[in-house]
Amino acid sequence: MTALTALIFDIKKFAIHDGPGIRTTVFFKGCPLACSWCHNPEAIKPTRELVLFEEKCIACGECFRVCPQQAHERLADGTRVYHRDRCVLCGACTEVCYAEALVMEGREVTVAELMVDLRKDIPFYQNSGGGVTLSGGEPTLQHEFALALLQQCKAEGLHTAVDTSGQTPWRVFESLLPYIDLVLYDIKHIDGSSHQQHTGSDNGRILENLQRLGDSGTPIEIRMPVIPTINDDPEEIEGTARFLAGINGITKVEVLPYHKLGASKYARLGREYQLPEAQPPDPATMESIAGILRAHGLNVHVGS
Amino acid sequence: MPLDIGPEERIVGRPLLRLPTPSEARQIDAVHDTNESIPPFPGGDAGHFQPDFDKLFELGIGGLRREIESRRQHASAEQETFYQACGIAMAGFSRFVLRVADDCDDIELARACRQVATEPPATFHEGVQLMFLTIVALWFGEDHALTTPGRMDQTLRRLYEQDLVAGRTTPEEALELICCLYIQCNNILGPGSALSVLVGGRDRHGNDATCDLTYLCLAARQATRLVYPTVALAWHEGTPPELTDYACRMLRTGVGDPAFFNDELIVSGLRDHGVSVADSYDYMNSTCVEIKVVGSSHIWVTAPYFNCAQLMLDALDRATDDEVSAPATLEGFEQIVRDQFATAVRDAAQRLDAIWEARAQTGCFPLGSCLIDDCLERGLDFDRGGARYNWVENSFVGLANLVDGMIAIEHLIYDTGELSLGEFRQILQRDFADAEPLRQRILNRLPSYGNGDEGADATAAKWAGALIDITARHTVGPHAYVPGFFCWVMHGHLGADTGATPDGRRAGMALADGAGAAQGRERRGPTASVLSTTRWSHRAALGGLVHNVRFSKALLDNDAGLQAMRGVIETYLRRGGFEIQVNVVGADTLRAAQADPEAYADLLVRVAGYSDYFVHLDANLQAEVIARTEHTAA
Repeated sequence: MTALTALIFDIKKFAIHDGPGIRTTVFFKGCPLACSWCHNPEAIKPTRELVLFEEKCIACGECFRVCPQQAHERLADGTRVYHRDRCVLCGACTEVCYAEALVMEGREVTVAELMVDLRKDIPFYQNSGGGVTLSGGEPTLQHEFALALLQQCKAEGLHTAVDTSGQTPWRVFESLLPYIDLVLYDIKHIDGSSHQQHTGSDNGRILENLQRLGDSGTPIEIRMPVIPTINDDPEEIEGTARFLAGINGITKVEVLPYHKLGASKYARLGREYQLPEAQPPDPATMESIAGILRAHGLNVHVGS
Repeated sequence: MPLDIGPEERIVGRPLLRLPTPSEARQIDAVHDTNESIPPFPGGDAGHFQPDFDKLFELGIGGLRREIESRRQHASAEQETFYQACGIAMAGFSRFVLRVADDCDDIELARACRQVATEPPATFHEGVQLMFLTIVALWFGEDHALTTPGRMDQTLRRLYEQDLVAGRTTPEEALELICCLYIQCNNILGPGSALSVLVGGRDRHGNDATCDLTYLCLAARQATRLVYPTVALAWHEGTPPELTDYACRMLRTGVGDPAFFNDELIVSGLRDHGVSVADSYDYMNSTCVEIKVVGSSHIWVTAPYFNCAQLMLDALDRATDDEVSAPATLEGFEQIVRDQFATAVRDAAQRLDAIWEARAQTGCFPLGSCLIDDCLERGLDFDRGGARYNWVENSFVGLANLVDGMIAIEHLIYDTGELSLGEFRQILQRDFADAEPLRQRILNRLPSYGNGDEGADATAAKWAGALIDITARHTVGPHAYVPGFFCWVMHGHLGADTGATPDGRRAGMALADGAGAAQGRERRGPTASVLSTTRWSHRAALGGLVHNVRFSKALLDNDAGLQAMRGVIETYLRRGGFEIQVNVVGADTLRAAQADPEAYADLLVRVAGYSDYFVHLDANLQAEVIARTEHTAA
């Protein structure tokens, strides 16, 4: 029998923005949405990807030597090119790239392997009221593994949070809920067609799942990214506020200003950033959005 | 010694440190002439001095003089000379204080100085005034440089509380006077040094000692924001949560203080070294982190600084002198390294004991002896065994370089066998020229200390334990030697003269700057780093050690960040960490980190919804983070 594994792309210790206290966050690879502003583009594909950090290259030439597919090519002028279309993600180059200019994003882990890492910071969880957060990507996409991991965390008395887009079948949530202490739930658009346009999928199930989550009694923190001209229209925010006001269990709404910090990751993945012109919202816009939500009795926090 | 008193000064008595006038120059020349007639000072440590302010404040200068006289009645011939010297020193101290009084234009100040020239201080102001005059007298009168205000929230507490009850002072006025004392500390000490105040902790009965003055001493640091003194907090489980909270909020402002000292650990360590239960609570960081018992110890600190990286290279040289004798096993090489350290420790101890011996033969410190127990009781000078506690604290600089280097040697020479010791030594001698992939592999692929890696941390525990053990076992003379793992600025100085090391550090680069990860080797955040540093016992390391954490301001601008920082600090201390200091940095520092990434490898910043090492971000991201930091600060 092969052990259950998940494809993750990061384990972040000292995560202090993913639920209460000091936490360790596991980032699952693969997401059902493809938001145009996504700052974790490496999270989207449910498969491994090769990432290039050109500035770290020490020109040792090992990648040219070991690649069985000639995906790494040295040009006449000495510069290098990576043919993503030829690459079969065998990892031979990343294995010998000691300078870490070539990095394989995504690795398979078992629950047992993850737990070794997650247990290390138990003293910090205890002293700060923290725990473990499953994020991504969309952790519920790998729900069998997520369930096993959450069960193991709860069996060991760890506080658990799941950071989700909500785009997942209800039965998946239902199976996970007994092992989740806190849900961090993203709301991007209240309007279905806008949601479709900017994230690539409809929000019907997302809103319905939130309603059901609220009724289940699980504490929920809402996260709302604010992207100027895309989802900052006051009327739409008003609609979101009305909807959220009708949901049980929401302890906090965090409005998060758009930032371009993920933009440079796209080139490393050989992709194009979809919002090159977008700018972060100004603090006044953030405050006015927070005001609209607060008027509906929501506990709003403006993030950074 | 000419004095310098400014018109607005409320704590007075600082020596003249500007260019002297002709008549002042004559006074100074006279002092120099006197000094010429004294045999040269053999060296060693007489500074970082912690006088017994409790006794001085209780008896006053006059009371101490009477004690000397009364003891002199029953003295032996040798003691007679000692007491005579002490009497002269205290008379001189009293005359100095009277001279300060004479120089005061302010009537109240002059009255306060006259009072403390003979009598115990009767008010808080008089107490602070006598404290400063004592510091000046010891520092400039008897070469006890870096004499500190020490645990002033305890020594001045009685006077402050009496004043408060009597309506003689207010917290605001006390704060102002403490600020005045701090400012004077800056007036008498040039740049690049250190001076310490330690607050909190416990009293001689083991009860929490937090009082209003604890907060005022911290607040004065915040208000003055000068170089000196650092104000640290002795933290224990009974420290009031609101004091911890106050300290964390202070850190958030970027003032750099307070550092947190582990009171329970240090108290236990002192008792291990024979300090009595009551005395064990009454200790100080003598300037940076080297621990001394207040008012009753003669302890040399950072004597000397050992360069762990160089000693390891020396061992490597010795092991590769003759290829035939190169050790065939890791254990064999480890033994050579241990021998190298043992020799260095023994040689240093021999040298220092000789200096101590020479000092005891040729010199004396009568004023210091009056203010260090039990010199007067024993009738013995400070340098001749008069102090209750006498030992020498050394300091090992670059523990992480040693640990990571041993890991690399284990892997490359004894596990994979891809290199011989001699080949590796040659690569190091060439400073990794033509071996950059190997260097990158050592840096990025081999486990390293500071990341919560069990194997690497076990190696660190083994070597820290070995150095502690070597210090205890390889001393020669009458004095105990106590280990420390602290570097002050020596990691830069020593590193500059040290060739490339097996851990991938290039020649000339600084050594590790604390007891934790080497620069650039910490990759898994502050929690992993704390787990590593606390993997080995710090209890014996009274010579001091530092665990550094760096956060950007923006990371701490919300309650979650503040609480997380507190979580890191408390977890470190509860796991037996000796001392932790948090540096909170702004945009200027971020720019400096861009220019010199290796020096700022552990600088943690908030990126967006997550935190990462600043130097791990690419140029665009760094620019964004700087812009945001400036925005937050505005």
